[in-house]
Amino acid sequence: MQRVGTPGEPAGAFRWLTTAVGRLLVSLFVPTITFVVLWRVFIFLRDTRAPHWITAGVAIVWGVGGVMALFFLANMVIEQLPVRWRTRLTPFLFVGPALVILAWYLALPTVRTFYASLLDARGEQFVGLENYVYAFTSDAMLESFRNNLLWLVIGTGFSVGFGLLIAVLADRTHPLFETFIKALIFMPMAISMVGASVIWKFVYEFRPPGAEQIGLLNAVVTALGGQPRAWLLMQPWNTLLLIVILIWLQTGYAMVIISAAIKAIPRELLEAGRIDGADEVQIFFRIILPTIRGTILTVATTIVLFTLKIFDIVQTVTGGNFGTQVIANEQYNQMFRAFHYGRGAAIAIVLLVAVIPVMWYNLRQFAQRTEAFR
Amino acid sequence: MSVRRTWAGTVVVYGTLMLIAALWTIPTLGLLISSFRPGDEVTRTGWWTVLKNPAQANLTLDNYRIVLGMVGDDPRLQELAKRGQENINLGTAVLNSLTVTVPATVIPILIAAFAAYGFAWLRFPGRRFFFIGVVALLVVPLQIALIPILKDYVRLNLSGTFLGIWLAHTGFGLPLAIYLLYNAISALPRDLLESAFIDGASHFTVFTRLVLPLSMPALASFAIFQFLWVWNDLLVALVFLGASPEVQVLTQRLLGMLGTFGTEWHLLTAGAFVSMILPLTVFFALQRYFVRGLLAGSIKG
Amino acid sequence: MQNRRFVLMFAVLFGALVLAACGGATPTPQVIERQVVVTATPEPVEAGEDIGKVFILGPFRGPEETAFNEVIAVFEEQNPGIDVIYSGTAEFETLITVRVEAGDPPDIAAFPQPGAVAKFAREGKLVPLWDEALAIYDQNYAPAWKELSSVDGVPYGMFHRVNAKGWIWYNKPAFEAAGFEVPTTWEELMALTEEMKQTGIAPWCDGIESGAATGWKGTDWIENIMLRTQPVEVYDQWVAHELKFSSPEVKNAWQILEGIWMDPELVYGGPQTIALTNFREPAAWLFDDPPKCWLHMQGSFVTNFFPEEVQADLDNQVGVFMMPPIDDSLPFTLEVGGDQYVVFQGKDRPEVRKFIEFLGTVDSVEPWAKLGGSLFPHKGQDLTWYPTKLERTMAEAITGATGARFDGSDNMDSAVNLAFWKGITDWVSGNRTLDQVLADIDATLPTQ
Repeated sequence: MQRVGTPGEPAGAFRWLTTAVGRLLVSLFVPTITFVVLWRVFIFLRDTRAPHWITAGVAIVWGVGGVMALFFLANMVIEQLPVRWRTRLTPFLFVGPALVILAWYLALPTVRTFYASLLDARGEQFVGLENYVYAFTSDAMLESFRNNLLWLVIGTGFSVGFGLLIAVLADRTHPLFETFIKALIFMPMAISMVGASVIWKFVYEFRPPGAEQIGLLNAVVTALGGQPRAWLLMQPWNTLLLIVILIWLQTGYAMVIISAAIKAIPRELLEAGRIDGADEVQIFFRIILPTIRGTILTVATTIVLFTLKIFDIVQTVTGGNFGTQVIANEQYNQMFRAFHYGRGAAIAIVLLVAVIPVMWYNLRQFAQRTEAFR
Repeated sequence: MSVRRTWAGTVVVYGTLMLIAALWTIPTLGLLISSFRPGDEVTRTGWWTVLKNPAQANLTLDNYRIVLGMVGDDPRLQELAKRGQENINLGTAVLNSLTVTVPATVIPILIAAFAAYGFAWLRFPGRRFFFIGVVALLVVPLQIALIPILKDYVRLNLSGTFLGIWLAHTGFGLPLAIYLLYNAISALPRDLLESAFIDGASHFTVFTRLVLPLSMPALASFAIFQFLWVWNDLLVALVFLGASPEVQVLTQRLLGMLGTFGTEWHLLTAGAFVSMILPLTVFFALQRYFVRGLLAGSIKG
Repeated sequence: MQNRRFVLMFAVLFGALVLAACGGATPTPQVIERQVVVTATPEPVEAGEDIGKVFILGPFRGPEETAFNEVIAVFEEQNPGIDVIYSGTAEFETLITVRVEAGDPPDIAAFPQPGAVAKFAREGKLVPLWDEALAIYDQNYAPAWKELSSVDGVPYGMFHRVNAKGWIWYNKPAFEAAGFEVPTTWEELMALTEEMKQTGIAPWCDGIESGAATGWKGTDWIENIMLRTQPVEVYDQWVAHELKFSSPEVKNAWQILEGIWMDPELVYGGPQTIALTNFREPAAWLFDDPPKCWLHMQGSFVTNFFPEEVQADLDNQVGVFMMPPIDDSLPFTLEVGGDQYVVFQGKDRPEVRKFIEFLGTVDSVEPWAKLGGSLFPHKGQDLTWYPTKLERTMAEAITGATGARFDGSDNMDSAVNLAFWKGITDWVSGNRTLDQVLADIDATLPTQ
């Protein structure tokens, strides 16, 4: 059994015994007290009749503080242990809680969904791959595959592109101006989905020729002398117009993350480039871009995956009609409107499978970029 | 420190940014202007007519007054407000939203930061497998989790509780959180951390003392998004927190004013802006973390 | 260094413990009406136990929710020990499915679609109506309503607020000024619309947009035409999926609608406008200056969509007539819709039953009727409760209807319903031809 000796502390069997016992007591005592405290506050919250704002405040502190306390606690317990155990258990401390939660909330339901995808509409009879046949061959799904590809390529491309452009340019401006611009680009994200769909309905709205246009796009078109058009009916333009909404929303997201990465580039690096005589464009391509490659990949991946999940925009603006259907909306329709649980589940699994190339690429990056200690 | 910037270059930079920002803001501007117009007019004429003819525009604060519940003694407003939702007051809804959102933002960040550090800097069996699992879970639509989780909650007596919804948002937000934070934490310079280990620090100390402060920009970025997403969420709150009046969150209350047929949607425009105030405030508050130079100087350390 | 942190942590924890222990003993300052339950739900209640609370979930919100709360107020006055809470939500269909499947349903839910009720009833999640409730049905409602709430012959829901469809609305002052007359037969209606073409203002306007439910407006047309061209038994077969959409009877109905909607001179803005316009807007177009159109077909709830000035003066501004018969040999059948209130298994308690029974009585009608905009089927209601003559006429039509059928699409299998909506949308927008659309819908018919 190992012991940690600090300079000046006399070694000895007796010392060792007391420190070991002391450690044991602390390992038992402190967790117990913490749990008791957390439990008592829980009861308090449940039974209290205090004014709402007090309960809210206590709940927030309890929630956040409780989690922090639990981490500290777990770490403390681990540190009482000998080094070999410490090395083994530390990863669990770090990664364990996340994996447990993910397993319960996402992984298990996915497994259940896979099982449900092999059953019929009510989830009673086994039907084998019948739902998957539907998922791959029905008109709605074929249309969705086509559309999602568009969403993926165009939506991600422009969101990341604009985000990068704005992040890089804004970095060179006065900090106040930079914050102002970033806030404006970011603002769409702060508007709820419902608000966003109302806004864009005002943009794409159609009124017959001769009537007053209340949609911005048609107002511009008629002001320029053209005829108003039923934009949302026109395929495939309607999908592109919906993707514009996505770009409007997601560029802020890409911008924030890429901007954070750009800020993390050490000033010395950029200065060195400039001193060497490189102009701004070269600095961008030779220094900035390579350094933030990882971030761009991350942002692109998340947006790609997000475009596969997109359904509120489509559901609210066109309902998936006029050729704009997407996979996630069809999944929602099957599950909650047609009440066909089997098909809804199969479509969800198909989505998961569609992600494999993305995951493979990320795995390669993971292997290249990750280091580890001990 | 001399930076070579031409006058023309500056114009290009500022000009491009302002153009893009202007384009971006036009739709929002439309919403803002519409929120000051009476309901009947919104469907009759475009919002830009207000800009063309400000004198003739029928601007009013009524929408905001009704949404905020500040109807006062004006009988006309009272009549209009009566057609909205009465039994929830705005204060309760905002408090509920806060109670849901703050922990549902902080808790996932904490847990994800730990996990991201683990994936980036610790060695353990199954590391790759689990990481890929996390990335894969990014695409799982949360609708498929609603029924199984609620079933479990009902058995555990967690349905309708704030703890339940905190955990649900944590579960749904963890994949993105871990993925983003992993990206930031794995980019930290190895020598920096190694020198700390040489000084005898444990992983936990390195994490709390070094890694967390250095990853603040990434933590702040994710905090903004998670806050936003939870604040504007409707479905998860409905399912796990419930629909009863005293636990309704802001999104629910605003939608409730809308009426079944959505006839009151001029109220929605005002409601959208009222609801935006807090997330924007959070955005501005977290801006100070997006400052260059957090790492500068630390390499020499 | 390590020690200091320990002591600090220990002190904080101990302090918190002391605080919490003391805090728990604080006496209740005042009883606040509706408590915020922060952490744990109360113990689940056994069916049969009276806890004095009833929780209702429904889709309607805003002004209707306010109106329903007035109804609840009357009930609570009559039953002081019972607290009824209604929650309306936009995501009703998702929420109710999730909660029922997860084993956490509300006590009562208000369903606008009997198809959904049928689904849950067949899964055994609902409580069939009990003797007292059935007695109320026999006493207070025309027999059709009990049948409409039945699944496989067993009644489940109590109808409360209802609507009727097939009404055609017009701008009364403008209509009369133009010298038009209300048609009583289909031929007269067609002749009228021809006459209207000459005025340069479109005879009809319509809109089917409704977000995820886009297309339901068209289904109303088809159903009303079916009721006027086919015997009611054929209608029933169609709704029960024994008659295909591509059958000549049903196809004929679509073709009649085609004659109206697809004629660009008959409808304002043509089919494109129909496809993209939200269903609420055309009602206001009747009253534009100049009007965009003369006639608009819509259910009785349209009164909510008229401009405010018109709503304030309904009887003078708005005229209405029922869609005329097409085949004179058929008796008139009214198409109705409505919310029915059902009780979920495990929630069958005395106070829940009391509320359902209350909804069947005339007392539950008065507060809502007086607010206007909604109709009720209860016999023995005082028609003067409705604020306008318009609503009184419609209420009479409902209570006096000898033949009534529920909105067909609402009564159909959910998957078919969805396909029906989409079919209308695809057809109007020119995406698919009529035959393709009918085949698409037929493909979703249940195979039993």
